[in-house]
Order: sequence, then C-alpha cells, then structure tokens
Amino acid sequence: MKINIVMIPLQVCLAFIVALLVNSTVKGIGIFRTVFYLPVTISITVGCLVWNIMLNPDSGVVNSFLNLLGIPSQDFFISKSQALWCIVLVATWKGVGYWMMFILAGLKNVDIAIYESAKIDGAGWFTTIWKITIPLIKKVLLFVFVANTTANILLFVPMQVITNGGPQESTNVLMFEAYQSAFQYGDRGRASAIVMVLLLLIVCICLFQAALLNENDKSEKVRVK
Amino acid sequence: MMTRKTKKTLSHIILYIVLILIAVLTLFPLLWGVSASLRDDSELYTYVMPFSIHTLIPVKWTAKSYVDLFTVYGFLKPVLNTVLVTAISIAFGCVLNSVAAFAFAMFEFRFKKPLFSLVLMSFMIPFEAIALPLYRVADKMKMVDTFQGMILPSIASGLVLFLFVQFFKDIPADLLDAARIDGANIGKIYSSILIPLSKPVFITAGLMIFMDQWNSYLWPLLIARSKDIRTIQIALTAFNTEHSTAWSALYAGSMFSALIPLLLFLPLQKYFVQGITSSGVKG
Repeated sequence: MKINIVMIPLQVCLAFIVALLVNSTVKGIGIFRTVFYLPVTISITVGCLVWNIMLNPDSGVVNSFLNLLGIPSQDFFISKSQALWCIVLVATWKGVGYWMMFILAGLKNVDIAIYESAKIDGAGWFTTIWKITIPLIKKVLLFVFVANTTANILLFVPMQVITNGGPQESTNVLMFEAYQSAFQYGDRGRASAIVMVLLLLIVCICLFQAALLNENDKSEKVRVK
Repeated sequence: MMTRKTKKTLSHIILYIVLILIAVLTLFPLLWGVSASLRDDSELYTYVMPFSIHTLIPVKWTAKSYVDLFTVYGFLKPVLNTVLVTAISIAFGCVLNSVAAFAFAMFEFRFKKPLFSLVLMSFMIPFEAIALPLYRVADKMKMVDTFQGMILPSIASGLVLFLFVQFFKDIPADLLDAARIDGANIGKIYSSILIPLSKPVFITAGLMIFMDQWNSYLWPLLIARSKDIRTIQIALTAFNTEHSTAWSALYAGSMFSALIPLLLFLPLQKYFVQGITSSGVKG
C-alpha cells in the first residue's frame, strides 16, 4: 500500500511534465511523442521480463553501468528494501506515456490565445503553468489521478512475474494476495473477500472523483453569475 | 545582456537535452532487448561486466535465438493461439459493439439512460478487479481452459461501445432519415450507410481490441490452464520460470511479442491515441 503514496504522485507529475515538454512546437517533437508512447504498446509482461534481466544483481546491465559510474552493484529485486522500488520503476516506465496521452489531449484543448494574453500581461513560465494551465486542465488531471490510483492499487503482474511477492513479503500487495489465495492455497472465500475490499476501495475513489467534479462545476457556475 | 533570440535558442537546446534524456530512458530497455536477442548467451554474460561498447553491441550477430524460439522452445503454438484469439475478438468485438452503439445513438427505448450509465461504469472498473469473480463464472459455465472462455469476456467492451456511440452521434440524422424514406431498413442503413462512414472509428476500435488481447496476461493466466491454448504472454512468463538463464531466447521472445503491436502502432498512432484519450477527456 505504501508504495502507492509515492508512485501515484510520481507518475502523475512525470506524465504532466512530459506532456508539457511534448506540447511545445519545436522541430521533431512528433518523433519524441511517438517514442514516449512506445512503452504503452508493449505488454507489461515483456516490460517486467526485460527489466528483470537488466536489473539482475550479478550480470545485469544496470549494475554494469552503475559500476562504470563508480557506484557498487545493487541487489534490486532480491533486496527486501529495494524490490518494491524496482517495481515502481518498471510500472512508471510503462505507465508515464499512457497518462501523458490524456494530459496532452487536455493541453491541446486549451486555447493558445490564453497563453498569449498571459505573456503580454508579463506572466512568467512558472506562473503561467501554475495559474493558467493547471486550473484549465483540472478535470483531465483529476481523471488521470483517479484512473492512475485504481490502476496502481490493482498492480499485479510485476509481483507475479518477477518477485512472487518476496523477498520476505516485501512486494506482497492485495491483488497478489487475492490471486495467491484463490489459485495457490485454494481459499476462494479469502480471495473473494480481498477482491470485495478492492472493489469497495475503487468505488469510493470513483465517488470521490464524481464529488470533486460536481463541486468544480458548481464553483464555475457561481463565478459566471 | 542576452538578446531574446539567444535566450530562445538556449531554451530550445535545454528542451532538446531533456527530451533526448527521457527518450533514451524510454528506449533503452527496447534497444537493449533487441541487441541482446541477436547474440548468444555466453557472449551476453561475458561482456556485460565491466561496461564496454560490447556490453551494448554484439560482437557476433546471430539470429539463432529467434530460430530456437520456434524450433526448440515451441513458440509457434502460443503465437498462433494469440493470433486466433485476437482476430476473433476483433471481429466479434467490432460487430457487437458497433451494433449496440447504433442502437444507443439512433433510437429511443426504455431504460436507455440507465443502460448507458452501466456501459460507462463498466470501463471505470479495471479488469483486474473483476477477474477473480469472473473466473468463477467461467468455471460454472465450464469454460475454463477453452478458447471460448478466453475470448468471450473481452467481446463486449464498454470503452469500445462508448467510442462507437461518440462517433455515431456526429453522423447527421437527416442522412439516415433520407435513407429510411427511400425504403432502406435498419440492417441496410447500418451496413451500407453507417459502416462506410465509420472507417476511422472501426480502425480505432480494432486497434484497441488488438492491443488489449495481444498483451493480455491476467485473464489467459487464469483461464488457459493447459499448454495447448496458452497465449504468447503466458508462454513468455512460463519460459522465464523454466529456463531463467536462457536470456537470449527470453529477449527474442519478448521482442517478438513487442514487435507486432509496435508495427501496428507506428502507422496508426493517431487512431490509437484518439481511442484512448476519448474516454478520459470527453467522459
């Protein structure tokens, strides 16, 4: 559970930053956009398998590269303290491009004239983003935030493919626990209970999103009056 | 003092550096995978440490691991299975969802609103959340370990249905009325007016179903118990547990599985992105 507190903001922020970057109109930006989308089309299984070998403690290319920089080899997936963070890395590599698509689509809907007038009024780059961009795409950001939360709560494949919940239960999450209960231990009741908890959690998150959206609409209407 | 122009070039240079850095991070696992799949295992182990140019680029290029994949490790069957499952899902998925969307977009009927809300809700709930209960349903219907069981749950898709509805709504009603006056029945309107007008949305829908099915892991993992009906993703992870040191072949399998969606995605990127984002931005 605790990784989500880091992973969700991390992925949403990264996706937002990358979306801002590729929303610029410099030459060749289309190529970068395509490159950033690529992990979306690749299955999470392939992502896990490739990263797992790359992060192999003894003969993985990442450790080799770290040694080159003078950093000692790390244990990654077999270390109790690092395994979960490696999963965050894999999930983020795979996820950022996907969430970026939504934010970019939101950014494209913003009228360019608004930026122009902000520039004339002397707003800096940071102020423009904070005061204009974010409020204007608030709905999309909220959607991404909620969808990302549900997706990450249900993250399952890296645990199943790479770590098997270990080492020492450090990567055991609810979804994996449910799968294990149902198919390894044959305890269907327990599995159903866990799934119900997860479903309730997701319904709560969706209701929370709906409430926030409604509030936004109300405040907008008040402003119009 | 910096002129405005130099300031602009400078910010462009910084932008490019950041973009290239992210691109390298994104692409590295893929390029590394391609390079590693084109050399043999011993070379892979020998050159990985210490870091040198041959860590990244093979000394002796060989496609042997790809050949092994199909001859020694029996990957042909899972690939064919995946192609079969994906093709049937696309065909049925496009027809069923577009017909349902036709009804939602063009007709008034009882319970239309609550039914449509159900459709919208169905794609807010991720598949993982319903996978285990769904497995029990499949079990009761005796569909575990069958192709029907693997394909059936993916045919009716709320997201694809929603895509079709969005598209059909924009088709002018006058056009359909005109056809009706000319004596065309509903089937005729659907097949000879709607379908030709809706090619882009069919491409988007087909592509999304393709990506879902080709890359799907959890459902085949639950339902495909025997080796005969395994899909490619399951075969890959099983290979990982059985031959965890045959890295080169593992990379070859991974790259093969990634290549086909990539080849479809590159020319059809526009349709795919539209499909994915329409759910979040409009919904």
